[in-house]
Amino acid sequence: MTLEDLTTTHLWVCSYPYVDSTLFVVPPAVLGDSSARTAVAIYDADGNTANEVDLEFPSNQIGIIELESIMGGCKLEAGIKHGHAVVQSPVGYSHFCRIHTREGAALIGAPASLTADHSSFFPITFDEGRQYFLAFVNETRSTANVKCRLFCGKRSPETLLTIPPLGSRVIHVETEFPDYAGGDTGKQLQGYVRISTKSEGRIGVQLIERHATKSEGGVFSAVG
Amino acid sequence: MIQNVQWLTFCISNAVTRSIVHFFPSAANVAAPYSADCALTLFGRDFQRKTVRLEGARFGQPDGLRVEDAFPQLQEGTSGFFGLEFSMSTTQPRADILSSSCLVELSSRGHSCRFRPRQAALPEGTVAARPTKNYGPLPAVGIKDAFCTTSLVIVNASGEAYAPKIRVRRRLTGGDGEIELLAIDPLGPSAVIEVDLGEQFAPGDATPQEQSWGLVRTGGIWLQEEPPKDAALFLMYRDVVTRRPMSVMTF
Repeated sequence: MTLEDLTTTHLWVCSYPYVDSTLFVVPPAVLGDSSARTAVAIYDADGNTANEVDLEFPSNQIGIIELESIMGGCKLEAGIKHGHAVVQSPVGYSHFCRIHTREGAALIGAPASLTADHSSFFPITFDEGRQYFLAFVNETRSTANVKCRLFCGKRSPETLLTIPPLGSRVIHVETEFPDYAGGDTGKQLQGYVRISTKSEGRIGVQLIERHATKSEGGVFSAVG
Repeated sequence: MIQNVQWLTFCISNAVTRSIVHFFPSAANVAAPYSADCALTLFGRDFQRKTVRLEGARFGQPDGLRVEDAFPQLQEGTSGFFGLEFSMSTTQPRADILSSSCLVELSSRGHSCRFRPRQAALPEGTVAARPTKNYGPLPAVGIKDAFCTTSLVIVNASGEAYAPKIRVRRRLTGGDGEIELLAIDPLGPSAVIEVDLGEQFAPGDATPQEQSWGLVRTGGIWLQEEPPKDAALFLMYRDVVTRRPMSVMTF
Protein backbone atom coordinates (compact mmCIF):
# COMPACT_ATOMS: atom_id res chain seq x y z
CA MET A 1 0.00 0.00 0.00
CA THR A 2 1.47 3.38 -0.98
CA LEU A 3 1.14 6.67 0.86
CA GLU A 4 -1.43 7.78 -1.74
CA ASP A 5 -3.65 4.91 -0.65
CA LEU A 6 -3.60 5.98 2.99
CA THR A 7 -5.40 8.46 5.18
CA THR A 8 -2.89 9.85 7.66
CA THR A 9 -3.89 11.78 10.78
CA HIS A 10 -1.60 13.35 13.36
CA LEU A 11 -3.11 13.53 16.85
CA TRP A 12 -2.00 14.84 20.21
CA VAL A 13 -2.66 12.10 22.76
CA CYS A 14 -2.45 12.00 26.55
CA SER A 15 -2.87 9.40 29.26
CA TYR A 16 -1.93 11.05 32.57
CA PRO A 17 -2.81 12.89 34.80
CA TYR A 18 -5.73 14.80 33.33
CA VAL A 19 -7.36 12.97 30.46
CA ASP A 20 -7.26 9.63 28.70
CA SER A 21 -7.30 9.43 24.93
CA THR A 22 -9.22 6.90 22.86
CA LEU A 23 -8.83 6.53 19.11
CA PHE A 24 -11.87 6.03 16.84
CA VAL A 25 -11.27 4.64 13.35
CA VAL A 26 -14.34 5.13 11.14
CA PRO A 27 -14.66 3.13 7.90
CA PRO A 28 -16.12 4.52 4.66
CA ALA A 29 -19.70 3.84 3.58
CA VAL A 30 -18.63 1.59 0.74
CA LEU A 31 -16.93 -1.43 2.19
CA GLY A 32 -13.85 -2.90 0.58
CA ASP A 33 -12.20 -5.91 2.16
CA SER A 34 -13.83 -7.55 5.14
CA SER A 35 -11.21 -6.06 7.42
CA ALA A 36 -8.77 -3.18 7.22
CA ARG A 37 -5.45 -2.47 8.86
CA THR A 38 -4.71 0.68 10.77
CA ALA A 39 -1.14 1.50 11.76
CA VAL A 40 -0.58 3.63 14.86
CA ALA A 41 2.86 5.04 15.69
CA ILE A 42 3.25 6.72 19.05
CA TYR A 43 6.10 9.19 19.47
CA ASP A 44 6.95 10.49 22.93
CA ALA A 45 7.27 14.19 23.68
CA ASP A 46 10.88 14.19 22.47
CA GLY A 47 9.97 12.50 19.20
CA ASN A 48 11.36 9.07 20.03
CA THR A 49 9.31 6.08 18.94
CA ALA A 50 7.41 4.87 22.00
CA ASN A 51 5.35 2.21 20.25
CA GLU A 52 4.18 1.03 16.86
CA VAL A 53 1.14 -1.18 16.47
CA ASP A 54 -0.82 -2.61 13.56
CA LEU A 55 -4.51 -2.99 14.27
CA GLU A 56 -7.07 -4.85 12.25
CA PHE A 57 -10.74 -3.92 12.52
CA PRO A 58 -13.71 -5.44 10.68
CA SER A 59 -14.37 -2.91 7.93
CA ASN A 60 -18.08 -2.73 8.81
CA GLN A 61 -17.35 -1.55 12.34
CA ILE A 62 -15.84 1.47 13.98
CA GLY A 63 -12.52 0.57 15.55
CA ILE A 64 -12.01 1.81 19.10
CA ILE A 65 -8.72 1.62 20.96
CA GLU A 66 -7.90 3.14 24.33
CA LEU A 67 -4.43 4.54 23.79
CA GLU A 68 -3.21 4.26 27.36
CA SER A 69 -2.47 0.61 26.65
CA ILE A 70 0.09 1.55 23.97
CA MET A 71 1.46 4.74 25.55
CA GLY A 72 3.51 3.05 28.24
CA GLY A 73 6.74 4.15 26.54
CA CYS A 74 5.85 7.85 26.69
CA LYS A 75 7.55 9.99 29.29
CA LEU A 76 6.25 12.83 31.41
CA GLU A 77 6.79 16.29 29.93
CA ALA A 78 5.46 19.39 31.70
CA GLY A 79 3.97 16.97 34.24
CA ILE A 80 1.82 15.31 31.58
CA LYS A 81 2.25 11.96 29.90
CA HIS A 82 1.59 12.87 26.31
CA GLY A 83 2.77 12.19 22.81
CA HIS A 84 2.17 12.37 19.08
CA ALA A 85 0.13 9.64 17.41
CA VAL A 86 0.42 9.10 13.66
CA VAL A 87 -2.55 7.04 12.50
CA GLN A 88 -2.71 5.53 9.02
CA SER A 89 -5.69 3.72 7.52
CA PRO A 90 -6.85 3.06 3.95
CA VAL A 91 -8.20 6.03 2.00
CA GLY A 92 -11.77 6.94 2.96
CA TYR A 93 -11.32 6.28 6.67
CA SER A 94 -11.60 9.00 9.33
CA HIS A 95 -9.79 9.22 12.65
CA PHE A 96 -11.02 10.92 15.80
CA CYS A 97 -9.81 11.14 19.34
CA ARG A 98 -12.00 11.09 22.42
CA ILE A 99 -10.51 12.71 25.51
CA HIS A 100 -12.22 11.82 28.74
CA THR A 101 -12.11 11.93 32.51
CA ARG A 102 -14.43 10.26 34.98
CA GLU A 103 -16.73 13.25 34.63
CA GLY A 104 -16.97 13.99 30.96
CA ALA A 105 -15.77 13.38 27.44
CA ALA A 106 -15.15 15.40 24.31
CA LEU A 107 -14.54 14.28 20.76
CA ILE A 108 -11.80 16.02 18.79
CA GLY A 109 -10.26 15.72 15.37
CA ALA A 110 -6.78 16.50 14.19
CA PRO A 111 -5.18 19.66 15.62
CA ALA A 112 -5.26 22.92 13.67
CA SER A 113 -2.48 23.29 11.12
CA LEU A 114 0.23 25.81 11.82
CA THR A 115 2.62 26.69 8.99
CA ALA A 116 4.90 29.57 8.10
CA ASP A 117 2.06 30.99 5.97
CA HIS A 118 -0.72 30.30 8.37
CA SER A 119 -0.83 31.43 12.00
CA SER A 120 -3.43 30.22 14.43
CA PHE A 121 -5.27 31.72 17.37
CA PHE A 122 -7.31 30.62 20.37
CA PRO A 123 -9.51 32.53 22.81
CA ILE A 124 -8.60 32.30 26.48
CA THR A 125 -10.87 33.33 29.35
CA PHE A 126 -8.82 33.89 32.50
CA ASP A 127 -11.08 32.79 35.29
CA GLU A 128 -10.63 31.07 38.64
CA GLY A 129 -12.32 27.88 37.52
CA ARG A 130 -10.50 27.37 34.22
CA GLN A 131 -7.10 26.17 33.12
CA TYR A 132 -5.74 26.20 29.58
CA PHE A 133 -3.20 24.03 27.86
CA LEU A 134 -1.79 24.46 24.38
CA ALA A 135 -0.74 21.13 22.90
CA PHE A 136 1.60 20.96 19.91
CA VAL A 137 2.65 18.09 17.68
CA ASN A 138 5.52 18.47 15.23
CA GLU A 139 4.54 16.57 12.10
CA THR A 140 7.95 17.07 10.49
CA ARG A 141 11.37 15.48 10.94
CA SER A 142 12.95 18.87 11.72
CA THR A 143 12.97 20.86 14.93
CA ALA A 144 10.21 23.47 14.91
CA ASN A 145 10.16 26.84 16.64
CA VAL A 146 6.87 28.38 17.64
CA LYS A 147 6.00 31.82 18.99
CA CYS A 148 2.97 32.22 21.28
CA ARG A 149 1.82 35.77 21.87
CA LEU A 150 -0.88 36.59 24.37
CA PHE A 151 -3.18 39.51 23.61
CA CYS A 152 -4.83 40.65 26.82
CA GLY A 153 -5.80 44.23 27.48
CA LYS A 154 -3.10 46.53 26.16
CA ARG A 155 -0.28 44.08 26.67
CA SER A 156 1.00 41.33 24.43
CA PRO A 157 3.74 39.25 26.06
CA GLU A 158 5.14 36.32 24.13
CA THR A 159 6.91 33.05 24.74
CA LEU A 160 8.99 30.88 22.44
CA LEU A 161 8.81 27.13 22.22
CA THR A 162 10.96 24.49 20.54
CA ILE A 163 9.34 21.22 19.48
CA PRO A 164 11.59 18.27 18.65
CA PRO A 165 11.12 16.43 15.33
CA LEU A 166 7.95 14.27 15.55
CA GLY A 167 7.67 15.32 19.19
CA SER A 168 5.01 17.09 21.19
CA ARG A 169 4.92 19.88 23.72
CA VAL A 170 2.35 21.25 26.15
CA ILE A 171 2.19 24.81 27.48
CA HIS A 172 0.20 25.62 30.58
CA VAL A 173 -1.03 29.09 29.63
CA GLU A 174 -1.42 30.38 33.19
CA THR A 175 2.15 29.33 33.99
CA GLU A 176 3.59 30.90 30.86
CA PHE A 177 1.73 34.15 31.44
CA PRO A 178 1.44 34.32 35.25
CA ASP A 179 0.54 38.02 35.34
CA TYR A 180 -2.91 37.14 34.06
CA ALA A 181 -3.55 33.95 35.99
CA GLY A 182 -5.15 33.31 39.33
CA GLY A 183 -7.36 36.35 39.29
CA ASP A 184 -9.11 36.45 42.65
CA THR A 185 -11.29 39.42 41.78
CA GLY A 186 -14.01 37.15 40.48
CA LYS A 187 -13.83 38.91 37.13
CA GLN A 188 -13.28 37.16 33.86
CA LEU A 189 -10.53 38.45 31.61
CA GLN A 190 -10.75 37.72 27.89
CA GLY A 191 -7.53 37.23 25.98
CA TYR A 192 -6.23 35.55 22.85
CA VAL A 193 -3.15 33.54 22.08
CA ARG A 194 -1.75 34.00 18.60
CA ILE A 195 0.57 31.21 17.50
CA SER A 196 2.98 31.51 14.61
CA THR A 197 6.04 29.79 13.24
CA LYS A 198 8.71 30.39 10.65
CA SER A 199 9.71 26.73 10.57
CA GLU A 200 9.04 24.68 7.46
CA GLY A 201 6.38 22.02 7.42
CA ARG A 202 3.29 21.57 9.48
CA ILE A 203 2.77 21.74 13.22
CA GLY A 204 -0.49 20.74 14.84
CA VAL A 205 -1.86 22.88 17.66
CA GLN A 206 -4.84 22.38 19.94
CA LEU A 207 -6.31 24.31 22.86
CA ILE A 208 -7.48 22.23 25.79
CA GLU A 209 -9.60 23.81 28.48
CA ARG A 210 -10.10 22.31 31.92
CA HIS A 211 -13.00 23.34 34.08
CA ALA A 212 -12.39 22.55 37.71
CA THR A 213 -15.09 20.52 39.42
CA LYS A 214 -15.52 19.29 42.97
CA SER A 215 -13.50 16.19 42.18
CA GLU A 216 -9.91 16.06 40.92
CA GLY A 217 -10.64 15.27 37.30
CA GLY A 218 -12.52 18.25 35.96
CA VAL A 219 -14.28 18.56 32.64
CA PHE A 220 -12.28 19.11 29.47
CA SER A 221 -13.01 20.55 26.08
CA ALA A 222 -10.69 20.99 23.13
CA VAL A 223 -10.51 22.70 19.79
CA GLY A 224 -7.98 22.38 17.01
CA MET B 1 -5.42 36.56 -4.09
CA ILE B 2 -8.34 36.23 -1.67
CA GLN B 3 -9.75 39.47 -0.28
CA ASN B 4 -13.04 38.21 1.05
CA VAL B 5 -13.62 35.17 3.24
CA GLN B 6 -16.86 33.92 4.77
CA TRP B 7 -17.87 31.33 7.29
CA LEU B 8 -21.23 29.74 7.94
CA THR B 9 -22.10 28.37 11.33
CA PHE B 10 -24.68 28.28 14.10
CA CYS B 11 -24.97 29.67 17.59
CA ILE B 12 -27.15 29.02 20.61
CA SER B 13 -28.81 31.62 22.76
CA ASN B 14 -30.83 30.65 25.81
CA ALA B 15 -30.83 30.98 29.58
CA VAL B 16 -27.97 28.49 29.94
CA THR B 17 -25.80 28.99 26.86
CA ARG B 18 -24.57 32.08 25.09
CA SER B 19 -22.38 32.31 22.03
CA ILE B 20 -19.23 34.23 21.23
CA VAL B 21 -17.68 34.71 17.80
CA HIS B 22 -13.89 34.96 17.80
CA PHE B 23 -12.01 35.98 14.68
CA PHE B 24 -8.46 36.52 13.52
CA PRO B 25 -7.86 38.69 10.45
CA SER B 26 -4.58 37.55 8.99
CA ALA B 27 -2.62 38.03 5.80
CA ALA B 28 0.54 35.97 5.40
CA ASN B 29 2.05 38.50 3.01
CA VAL B 30 1.27 41.65 5.05
CA ALA B 31 2.73 42.46 8.48
CA ALA B 32 1.13 45.88 9.00
CA PRO B 33 -1.99 45.99 11.17
CA TYR B 34 -4.32 47.23 8.43
CA SER B 35 -7.98 47.32 9.26
CA ALA B 36 -10.27 44.48 8.20
CA ASP B 37 -13.96 44.88 7.43
CA CYS B 38 -16.07 42.35 9.29
CA ALA B 39 -19.80 41.68 9.27
CA LEU B 40 -21.97 39.30 11.26
CA THR B 41 -25.36 38.14 9.99
CA LEU B 42 -27.84 36.34 12.23
CA PHE B 43 -30.87 34.43 10.97
CA GLY B 44 -33.28 31.77 12.09
CA ARG B 45 -36.87 30.73 12.30
CA ASP B 46 -38.92 33.60 13.72
CA PHE B 47 -35.89 35.89 13.45
CA GLN B 48 -35.56 38.15 10.47
CA ARG B 49 -32.11 38.15 8.91
CA LYS B 50 -30.05 41.01 10.30
CA THR B 51 -26.49 42.14 9.63
CA VAL B 52 -24.17 44.07 11.93
CA ARG B 53 -20.89 45.58 10.74
CA LEU B 54 -17.98 45.41 13.15
CA GLU B 55 -15.38 48.11 13.48
CA GLY B 56 -11.86 47.97 14.79
CA ALA B 57 -10.67 44.59 13.48
CA ARG B 58 -7.02 44.63 12.47
CA PHE B 59 -4.68 42.19 10.75
CA GLY B 60 -2.70 40.05 13.16
CA GLN B 61 -4.90 40.90 16.14
CA PRO B 62 -7.47 38.33 17.32
CA ASP B 63 -10.75 39.73 18.54
CA GLY B 64 -14.28 38.64 19.30
CA LEU B 65 -17.72 39.61 20.48
CA ARG B 66 -20.71 38.12 22.19
CA VAL B 67 -23.47 37.48 19.70
CA GLU B 68 -26.06 38.92 22.09
CA ASP B 69 -24.11 42.20 22.22
CA ALA B 70 -24.35 42.47 18.46
CA PHE B 71 -28.02 41.44 18.42
CA PRO B 72 -29.73 42.78 21.57
CA GLN B 73 -32.95 40.97 20.60
CA LEU B 74 -31.30 37.84 21.97
CA GLN B 75 -31.24 39.44 25.42
CA GLU B 76 -34.95 40.10 25.19
CA GLY B 77 -36.10 36.53 25.30
CA THR B 78 -35.56 35.32 21.75
CA SER B 79 -33.84 31.98 22.23
CA GLY B 80 -32.87 28.81 20.41
CA PHE B 81 -30.55 27.89 17.56
CA PHE B 82 -29.59 30.57 15.05
CA GLY B 83 -27.59 30.63 11.87
CA LEU B 84 -24.55 32.88 11.69
CA GLU B 85 -22.63 34.15 8.70
CA PHE B 86 -19.34 35.87 9.38
CA SER B 87 -17.57 37.69 6.59
CA MET B 88 -14.22 39.41 6.49
CA SER B 89 -12.80 41.53 3.70
CA THR B 90 -10.03 44.00 3.03
CA THR B 91 -9.51 46.93 0.70
CA GLN B 92 -5.73 46.52 0.82
CA PRO B 93 -4.92 45.50 -2.76
CA ARG B 94 -1.95 43.29 -1.86
CA ALA B 95 -3.38 41.57 1.19
CA ASP B 96 -4.38 37.93 0.80
CA ILE B 97 -6.60 37.12 3.80
CA LEU B 98 -7.03 33.42 3.07
CA SER B 99 -5.18 32.55 6.28
CA SER B 100 -7.73 34.38 8.44
CA SER B 101 -9.76 32.23 10.77
CA CYS B 102 -12.88 32.19 12.88
CA LEU B 103 -14.01 30.27 15.97
CA VAL B 104 -17.37 29.98 17.70
CA GLU B 105 -17.63 29.46 21.45
CA LEU B 106 -20.76 28.07 23.10
CA SER B 107 -20.35 29.17 26.67
CA SER B 108 -22.39 27.86 29.56
CA ARG B 109 -21.81 27.93 33.28
CA GLY B 110 -18.87 25.67 34.05
CA HIS B 111 -18.08 24.78 30.46
CA SER B 112 -17.17 26.18 27.06
CA CYS B 113 -17.28 24.36 23.76
CA ARG B 114 -15.39 25.85 20.82
CA PHE B 115 -15.42 24.87 17.18
CA ARG B 116 -14.43 26.11 13.76
CA PRO B 117 -17.26 27.04 11.38
CA ARG B 118 -17.52 25.88 7.82
CA GLN B 119 -15.57 28.16 5.53
CA ALA B 120 -17.55 29.18 2.46
CA ALA B 121 -16.45 27.87 -0.90
CA LEU B 122 -13.32 29.49 -2.27
CA PRO B 123 -12.49 30.07 -5.93
CA GLU B 124 -11.53 26.90 -7.77
CA GLY B 125 -7.88 25.97 -7.34
CA THR B 126 -7.57 27.77 -4.02
CA VAL B 127 -6.33 25.68 -1.14
CA ALA B 128 -8.66 26.15 1.83
CA ALA B 129 -7.00 27.67 4.86
CA ARG B 130 -8.57 25.03 7.07
CA PRO B 131 -9.76 22.11 5.07
CA THR B 132 -12.74 20.56 6.78
CA LYS B 133 -11.44 17.10 7.25
CA ASN B 134 -14.80 15.35 7.52
CA TYR B 135 -16.18 16.97 4.48
CA GLY B 136 -17.28 15.17 1.34
CA PRO B 137 -17.01 11.44 1.39
CA LEU B 138 -15.15 11.11 4.69
CA PRO B 139 -17.29 9.69 7.47
CA ALA B 140 -18.04 11.14 10.88
CA VAL B 141 -18.82 9.21 14.03
CA GLY B 142 -21.98 9.03 16.11
CA ILE B 143 -21.58 8.01 19.75
CA LYS B 144 -23.93 7.19 22.56
CA ASP B 145 -22.55 6.14 25.90
CA ALA B 146 -22.72 7.09 29.56
CA PHE B 147 -21.13 10.48 28.84
CA CYS B 148 -22.27 11.74 25.48
CA THR B 149 -24.91 11.58 22.84
CA THR B 150 -24.79 12.82 19.27
CA SER B 151 -26.92 15.24 17.32
CA LEU B 152 -26.75 16.82 13.90
CA VAL B 153 -27.10 20.57 13.46
CA ILE B 154 -28.17 21.67 9.98
CA VAL B 155 -27.86 25.28 8.87
CA ASN B 156 -29.63 26.48 5.75
CA ALA B 157 -28.69 30.05 4.89
CA SER B 158 -30.31 30.01 1.47
CA GLY B 159 -33.70 31.31 0.42
CA GLU B 160 -34.86 27.83 -0.59
CA ALA B 161 -35.67 24.66 1.28
CA TYR B 162 -32.85 22.15 1.78
CA ALA B 163 -33.23 18.43 2.36
CA PRO B 164 -29.90 16.89 3.40
CA LYS B 165 -29.26 13.24 2.65
CA ILE B 166 -27.49 11.62 5.58
CA ARG B 167 -26.67 7.94 5.91
CA VAL B 168 -25.96 6.11 9.14
CA ARG B 169 -24.48 2.67 9.71
CA ARG B 170 -24.81 1.28 13.18
CA ARG B 171 -22.65 -1.45 14.62
CA LEU B 172 -24.64 -4.65 14.59
CA THR B 173 -23.66 -8.10 15.67
CA GLY B 174 -22.93 -10.10 12.53
CA GLY B 175 -23.52 -8.90 8.98
CA ASP B 176 -22.18 -5.72 7.45
CA GLY B 177 -24.19 -3.34 9.55
CA GLU B 178 -27.30 -1.73 8.27
CA ILE B 179 -26.97 1.52 6.30
CA GLU B 180 -29.99 3.75 6.64
CA LEU B 181 -30.93 7.00 5.03
CA LEU B 182 -32.05 9.29 7.82
CA ALA B 183 -35.52 10.67 7.46
CA ILE B 184 -35.02 14.42 7.84
CA ASP B 185 -37.76 16.85 6.88
CA PRO B 186 -36.67 19.54 4.41
CA LEU B 187 -35.34 22.60 6.15
CA GLY B 188 -37.04 25.89 5.32
CA PRO B 189 -35.18 28.99 4.09
CA SER B 190 -32.87 30.69 6.62
CA ALA B 191 -33.41 28.00 9.22
CA VAL B 192 -31.38 25.96 11.68
CA ILE B 193 -32.39 22.69 13.31
CA GLU B 194 -30.85 20.16 15.66
CA VAL B 195 -31.64 16.52 14.89
CA ASP B 196 -31.08 14.18 17.82
CA LEU B 197 -29.31 11.05 16.61
CA GLY B 198 -29.42 9.36 20.02
CA GLU B 199 -32.22 7.03 18.95
CA GLN B 200 -30.07 5.74 16.10
CA PHE B 201 -27.73 4.27 18.67
CA ALA B 202 -30.28 3.14 21.23
CA PRO B 203 -30.05 -0.27 22.92
CA GLY B 204 -31.49 -2.84 20.55
CA ASP B 205 -30.61 -0.76 17.50
CA ALA B 206 -26.85 -0.84 17.88
CA THR B 207 -24.58 -3.42 19.45
CA PRO B 208 -22.46 -1.91 22.22
CA GLN B 209 -18.73 -2.32 22.71
CA GLU B 210 -17.34 -2.51 26.19
CA GLN B 211 -14.69 0.06 27.08
CA SER B 212 -13.09 1.05 30.38
CA TRP B 213 -15.70 3.80 30.84
CA GLY B 214 -18.64 1.49 30.08
CA LEU B 215 -20.66 0.43 27.09
CA VAL B 216 -20.42 2.56 23.96
CA ARG B 217 -22.64 2.42 20.90
CA THR B 218 -21.23 3.92 17.72
CA GLY B 219 -22.06 4.37 14.08
CA GLY B 220 -20.57 5.89 10.96
CA ILE B 221 -22.35 8.94 9.52
CA TRP B 222 -22.00 10.04 5.90
CA LEU B 223 -23.27 12.81 3.69
CA GLN B 224 -24.71 11.23 0.58
CA GLU B 225 -24.12 14.41 -1.38
CA GLU B 226 -22.31 17.65 -0.69
CA PRO B 227 -24.56 20.35 0.70
CA PRO B 228 -25.08 23.53 -1.34
CA LYS B 229 -22.65 26.38 -0.68
CA ASP B 230 -25.04 28.16 1.65
CA ALA B 231 -25.71 25.19 3.89
CA ALA B 232 -23.55 23.62 6.58
CA LEU B 233 -23.82 20.58 8.80
CA PHE B 234 -22.23 19.99 12.19
CA LEU B 235 -22.09 17.06 14.56
CA MET B 236 -22.66 18.08 18.15
CA TYR B 237 -21.81 15.86 21.10
CA ARG B 238 -23.79 16.72 24.23
CA ASP B 239 -23.24 15.63 27.80
CA VAL B 240 -25.87 13.02 28.60
CA VAL B 241 -26.69 14.41 32.05
CA THR B 242 -26.40 18.20 31.69
CA ARG B 243 -27.18 18.33 27.93
CA ARG B 244 -24.36 20.86 27.54
CA PRO B 245 -22.59 20.81 24.16
CA MET B 246 -19.20 19.19 24.82
CA SER B 247 -17.78 19.27 21.31
CA VAL B 248 -18.85 20.25 17.82
CA MET B 249 -17.27 19.13 14.57
CA THR B 250 -17.84 20.47 11.09
CA PHE B 251 -19.28 17.71 8.91
